[in-house]
Amino acid sequence: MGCFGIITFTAKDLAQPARQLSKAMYLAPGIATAIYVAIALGTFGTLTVDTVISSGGTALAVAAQPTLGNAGYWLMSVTAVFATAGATNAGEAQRRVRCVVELELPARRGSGERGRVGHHPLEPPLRPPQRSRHAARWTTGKKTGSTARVNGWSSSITSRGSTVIPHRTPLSRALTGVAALLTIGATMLVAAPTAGATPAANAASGSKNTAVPMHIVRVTGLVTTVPDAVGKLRVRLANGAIIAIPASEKDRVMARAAQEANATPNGVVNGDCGSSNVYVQEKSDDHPVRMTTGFSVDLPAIAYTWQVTISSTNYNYVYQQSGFLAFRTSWAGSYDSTDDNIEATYSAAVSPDQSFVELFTGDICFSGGPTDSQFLTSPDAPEANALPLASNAPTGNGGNATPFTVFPPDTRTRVADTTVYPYRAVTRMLSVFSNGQVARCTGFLYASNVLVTAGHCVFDTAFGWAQNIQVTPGRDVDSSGAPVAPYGSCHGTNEFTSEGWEFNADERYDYGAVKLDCTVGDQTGIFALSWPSGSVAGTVASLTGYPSDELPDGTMWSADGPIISDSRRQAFHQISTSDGSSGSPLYDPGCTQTCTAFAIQARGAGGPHPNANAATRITQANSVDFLEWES
Amino acid sequence: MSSGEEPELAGSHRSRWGMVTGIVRTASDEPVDDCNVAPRPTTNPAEGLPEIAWYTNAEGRYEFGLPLGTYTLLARGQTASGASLYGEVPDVVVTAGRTVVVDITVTEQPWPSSSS
Repeated sequence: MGCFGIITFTAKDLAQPARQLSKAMYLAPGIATAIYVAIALGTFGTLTVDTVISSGGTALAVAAQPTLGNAGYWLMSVTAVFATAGATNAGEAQRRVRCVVELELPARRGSGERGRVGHHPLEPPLRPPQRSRHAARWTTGKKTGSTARVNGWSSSITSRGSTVIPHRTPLSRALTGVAALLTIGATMLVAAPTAGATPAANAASGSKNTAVPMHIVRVTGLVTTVPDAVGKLRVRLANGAIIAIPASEKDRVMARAAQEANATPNGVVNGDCGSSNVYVQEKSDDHPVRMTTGFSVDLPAIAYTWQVTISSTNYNYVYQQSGFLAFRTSWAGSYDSTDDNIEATYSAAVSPDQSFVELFTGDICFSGGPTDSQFLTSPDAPEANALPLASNAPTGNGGNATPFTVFPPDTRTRVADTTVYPYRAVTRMLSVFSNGQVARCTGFLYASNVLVTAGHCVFDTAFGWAQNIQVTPGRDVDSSGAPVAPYGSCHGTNEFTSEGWEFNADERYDYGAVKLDCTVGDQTGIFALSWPSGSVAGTVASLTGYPSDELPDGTMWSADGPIISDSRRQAFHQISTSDGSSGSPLYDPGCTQTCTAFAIQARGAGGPHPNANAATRITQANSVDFLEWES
Repeated sequence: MSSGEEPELAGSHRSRWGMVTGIVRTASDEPVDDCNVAPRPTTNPAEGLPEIAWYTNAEGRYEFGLPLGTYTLLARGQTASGASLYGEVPDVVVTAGRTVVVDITVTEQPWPSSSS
């Protein structure tokens, strides 16, 4: 009987089915549409798109919170329970129709070591800390061959709607039936553009956007009528290309082709239908090459075929993927070369004639053929395992060398005047995590309302994102021991970290930023960020921050010292630090007008660098993140 | 490279980390709030410790993660009048995926120099 039986089975109970049923079919969509538009306006007027997506099935409850508070959240949730219970209440065993629609919002793209992912909007500072829903929430179990896996991380949010029509008055039943069907249809169409609003385009560096538009190309005829070995038929396009589509899609595609032949007999391209992208970068082991690609289309899609050619001198690989999309509106794929390749320029090109998406209308949406080309490097010197043992290497208990953070002689001195640049652009930072755990770090301003810090100061491997962040530039303590905030305190509104830190807990990517609710950088001045090419070993740096082992508690301390060794992403030194120093800038000593930070203090000695503290370097790759985070 | 593999959280990192938790109290059993609890490794941990400073809450409670290894936990606090409070617990062994409970008692004394 299918879903349309929901409408017609009521006819026998209506006094005037012809009049009443048709009236219901007009009234129901109008009422349902008005309600859905109102809900969508209310939800998206209250929450950001990211929040809606991350809230998943409870987005409406989350949207109710600002107006109605926690009572509103629970009211929506309880209401949803009753609504669901009412809808599933069978009443009588017979005359029960159920339509089940499975929606799959598109995979949320990860962005690799570059690019902005791991963006978390913070709760307003006056709210008590509460569990937040962070975007990195994963479900497993992909159903079709269209899994998106970018740099190893993919997510999907699956929601399922079901309606059971209970026995009620004839007109109300008819109305309910039509409304149910249209609710399902409306949900699909509302969800599709919402999901598409998280574009697949931001795969890699934030300042570079090679997404290109996709266009619908008209199908003009069927070339083969017998499916080939992989179940595909060939169709000809108005631009002369011949592509292979799944045989099961022949009717849909050819019906659309017939429509288009009548409507635009000479038309080749029928407007934009989405955007596609491709990027090359190093793999997570820093060797070439990783390719990421994907698309986002404007309408729910049935199937896709995609081909990317990756090439360099002495390297060539053709990446092919195809599959079904089950009405999703985006897809992403990636490929890591099996070998570690040499430093060179690598290019990736999406094959325009072999990369396309079949939309649910039967239209064929073509990739637009994006390309990307980058010089990719290989790692240089190994990490600090090769660090020479300095003559003043720390010794611990019993004379056994154990790694620590303070290297005698400890030359740290207290900053006498924190209202002088650059000290006043250095901030103490308080992070409160979801379980109420409080932590302190250091940060430094690089824009009027954004500061740099260590990634682990905003995202903890165990506790997740900080719920509340409070920042005090130039914090000090006066002679009576009272705290001094010469520029006041600000709160974080957004926090950022790299994907390499958030998902891999890789200390080479341990950097982050906090956007503030104040433009205090206009008063304090800001640090410039730079990434000297090549090694910074031998450079003398100043390191200024808020170490917790110094008294008075909560005062700013500074010391100078050389960079002893470095790698592409870290600088190793023996400038004394302690817990609380994370996020301290390493910058050019004696600077006056503008101080330039080239690294962010992050780690004490230990692990692969047992004799030196480690600072995360500013690099060309992550500078793109900092640029994006301040915009 | 294949698609469709099970995604992993940074929880895979948790196979190399454990947690410590506990309460910092004075000798007369009062909880100490806003007390810094710092780990000092006595074995080489798997990675350099993140230099984030953890503090107790109003109930004197702290909790944080550490790479596997053996540590001395140092508690550095202050009384309301600004006098230093200090205590330490040696030989805290952190094991993978486990939480070890370590309560620390602090007494009024200067904080030892970090160089020692």
